Amino acid sequence: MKESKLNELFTAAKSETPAAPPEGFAFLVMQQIQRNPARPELSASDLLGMWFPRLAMVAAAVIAICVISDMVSSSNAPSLTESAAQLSEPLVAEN
Amino acid sequence: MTAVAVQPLACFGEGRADKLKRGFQYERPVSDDAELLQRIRNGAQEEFAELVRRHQSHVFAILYRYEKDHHRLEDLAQDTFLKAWRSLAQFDGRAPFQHWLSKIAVHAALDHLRKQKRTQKEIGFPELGEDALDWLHNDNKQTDLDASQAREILAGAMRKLSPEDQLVLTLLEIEDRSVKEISALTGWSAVTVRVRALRARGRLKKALEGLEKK
Repeated sequence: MKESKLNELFTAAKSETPAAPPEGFAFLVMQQIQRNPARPELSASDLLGMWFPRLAMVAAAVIAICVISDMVSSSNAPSLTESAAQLSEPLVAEN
Repeated sequence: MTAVAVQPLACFGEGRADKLKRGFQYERPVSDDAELLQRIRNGAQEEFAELVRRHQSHVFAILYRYEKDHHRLEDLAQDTFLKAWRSLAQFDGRAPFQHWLSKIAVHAALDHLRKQKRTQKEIGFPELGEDALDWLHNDNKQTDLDASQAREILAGAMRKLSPEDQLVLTLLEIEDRSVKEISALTGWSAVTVRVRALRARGRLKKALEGLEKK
């Protein structure tokens, strides 16, 4: 099938007139609602869904702060190799 | 649209104020959707009927592309509004109410297509009318196609596609929505929409060729 023919098909389908809502449709919807009047409270999964992006952002921020503070504090302190060397010096001297 | 009478305002000037004194009633729309929603949230549940009246044509226009039977279409539209009612607490007002409602309608349509696909026993091609068959078999432009014939042919071919393919093609090719809009309505990424639309178009072409050969 040619592209032009497919496009023609879509164009013809576009001109279709949509069905109009029947008279009193809003009333029918309201009847349905009155049968179950209470709007259900948000379920646990809804709440999790709502809060998850925020919790994830907060968790990421906390991790970032921890990593940065660790980097800052460790930049002034001696490195692990130096500390290990310091500790092993007396042992090496004894032997 | 419902309207209410308002008190005369000094800022209208003398001419207008005189008119108002003589009993002329200046009318303005009761409220916009946000105001109505606020009232519903404050307990005026009956105001939801006004929201339904405002948006029912829009919802029917979306759903009509996926269900032609009038009773089933009505059920689908009712279902859409019930879902909207039940999730009103989740509507945050960042987008217009109609956009939010369209999203619910599109998801209701997708669920409906999935249900149809599950219950569809045989995936054979339906019987097409003579005019529709004529158009399919004729490659020259002499045969004109009207909306009902196009609908008939598309409905026959679309049955072969997945619900997602049917949805993306309807939104993109028939409703002329942009990729960005489809992405917002379906929750799929723009890339997914583009890829899915391209593949769906290919599959539709194959399905139409199947109809042609039949």
